[in-house]
Amino acid sequence: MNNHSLLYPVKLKGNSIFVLDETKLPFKEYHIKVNKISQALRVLSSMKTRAFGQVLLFLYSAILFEKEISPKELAKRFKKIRPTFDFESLSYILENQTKAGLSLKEVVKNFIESFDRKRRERTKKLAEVLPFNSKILTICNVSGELIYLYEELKKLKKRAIFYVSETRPYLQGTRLTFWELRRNNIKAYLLCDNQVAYLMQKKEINCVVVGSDRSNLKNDIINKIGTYAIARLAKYFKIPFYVLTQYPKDIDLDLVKIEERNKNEVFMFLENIKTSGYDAIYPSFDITKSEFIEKTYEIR
Amino acid sequence: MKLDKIKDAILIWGIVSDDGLSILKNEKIVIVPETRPYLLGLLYNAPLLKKQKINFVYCTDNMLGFLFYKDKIKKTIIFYKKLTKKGIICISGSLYVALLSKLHNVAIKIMPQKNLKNIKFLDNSATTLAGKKFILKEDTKFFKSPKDELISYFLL
Repeated sequence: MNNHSLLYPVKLKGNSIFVLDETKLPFKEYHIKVNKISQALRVLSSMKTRAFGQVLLFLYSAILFEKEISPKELAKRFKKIRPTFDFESLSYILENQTKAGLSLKEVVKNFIESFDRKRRERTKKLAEVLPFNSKILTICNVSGELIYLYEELKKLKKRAIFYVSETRPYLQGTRLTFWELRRNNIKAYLLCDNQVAYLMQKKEINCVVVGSDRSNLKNDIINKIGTYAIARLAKYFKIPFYVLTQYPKDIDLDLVKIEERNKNEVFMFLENIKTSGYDAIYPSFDITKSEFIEKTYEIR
Repeated sequence: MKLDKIKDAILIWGIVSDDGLSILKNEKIVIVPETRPYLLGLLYNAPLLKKQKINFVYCTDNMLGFLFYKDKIKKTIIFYKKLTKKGIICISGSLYVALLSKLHNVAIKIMPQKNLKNIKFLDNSATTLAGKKFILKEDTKFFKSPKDELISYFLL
């Protein structure tokens, strides 16, 4: 199983960063070339990449633009665009380890290799607790990690079917997760975000697996909008809700700024329908408290 | 609109009726969810409320959880297709809305939906949005069909 474009959606080759344009998936695998900080910021603000992709974009930008800007200053600029994500923690890792004598390139290489090793480890642990016939609901995209999870389940001779919530307005569930599962010949069904309660009631789902953008030491999380609703409903139907997260911090997540994007993005993909004059809201993340989470699998 | 501008909102779900409109006219703000897959919110409810000069804001269905979390919704109105002995029959997604309302102690009012004859939708499943496909041809059979949902009286 080697169709894993979303595991490493951003790459550094020579003096350029290549970003897999997620907005063009599933119909085109197109890579945007980035040579300037402004290009990197533009790629980030226009949602060409997110999740682990934005982590890689930050790390590779720190290397490529090392002479122009420090990781700390770079993190400030990234944070201005994506206030909900913790770029500062990444910059601390880079600055602390370069102070210890390693080059930025070595630090980034070690970080990515270690991160991937830990991603495999946590999916292995998660696979051990999932049912033998896992009917897994998921939302948004966990940067290829569901493929790792499937591989681990298979090693344990466990079956898995994925139920992918489409994840409006950007349709990351449809365009990214459903696509990557299907191109790896993994059984998956697509559903509208609002169908989750019905499918839980009908026992078509017996567990939930999601990623998270941020988490704290109490195991509360911030993740793509729609996650909280699924967690509440899963608790009601006594369905375990599992989270894959990283670098939890001692913070109150209710104090983290939740990015509210331009209302026009809510009407994304609806260009053939009249929407002018309509106001809209677009909080792009939501908060799920630990009381609704069965267990988190962390990378620290 | 930013979230902090929303307070005491009325959430609607289903095809708004004329009686429903009369109630909404007196409210500060109405939340009009997209109502996938049919896009009822966009194709029917939003234009209707705009014509009636009712103050509303549009959102995708998955944003409703966060609106409840932030205590933005004071009441939910669900427009049903049919009354039965066990509960009301409503369009796909109604259980999602009813349960989230109940779990956040938000009162639910039920009203019969407007009977729209010969209504045609652009989408009938998550495989398309506004009539456009977002999955590859070979994957088009792998979806869960939206079904009418029973909301038991116990939830209402």
